[in-house]
Amino acid sequence: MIATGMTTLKERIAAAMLACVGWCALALQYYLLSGITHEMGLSWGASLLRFLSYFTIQCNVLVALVLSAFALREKHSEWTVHPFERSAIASYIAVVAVVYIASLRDLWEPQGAQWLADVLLHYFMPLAYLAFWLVSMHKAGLRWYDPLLWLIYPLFYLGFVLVHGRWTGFYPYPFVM
Amino acid sequence: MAKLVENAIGVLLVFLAAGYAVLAISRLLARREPV
Repeated sequence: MIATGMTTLKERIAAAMLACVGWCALALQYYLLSGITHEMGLSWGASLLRFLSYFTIQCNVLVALVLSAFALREKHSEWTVHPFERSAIASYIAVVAVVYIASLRDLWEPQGAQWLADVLLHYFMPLAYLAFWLVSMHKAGLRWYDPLLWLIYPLFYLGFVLVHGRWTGFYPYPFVM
Repeated sequence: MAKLVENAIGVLLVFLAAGYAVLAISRLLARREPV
């Protein structure tokens, strides 16, 4: 199956279901993290900032937003949007899964609800989004230098993590401290 | 600091590789999409 240039009802339902899983996984992860940060005595704002300081979380928010937009958009206006953003997000969420599998998953052993959130955010949503992007999203029109432009966001993220880390002493990943 | 720069360059190269993989797949599949 290839992207046809038209959004079918089946595609919109699939996008809505995947978006729903994504939002639920994010809510679960926030609930679990806020329990820990509450015990540490962090304020609500600091807790939210810590939650959003994970690249995994930011990317999953982007994925859930794109899938929600895909599910809610008007049928014929779907393809007026340039594929730049959707393909960029495909590359980001692929990196989330690859880096997690290659260097982070052995650092901890999540159990119970944390295991579920971990699987949904690091494995299921990346695979689901990439599959959806492959099958249902318009991909024509990308330029050879677009992947270079896609580096702007990770660079901004790196700056944010370093500033946030210097300010709070918290670094979400061991390779950026 | 040197380790941080080394890690940052490594991660950015992973992003670049993923970006060009996505671009290559897009180009391949876009040929089959209607204009």
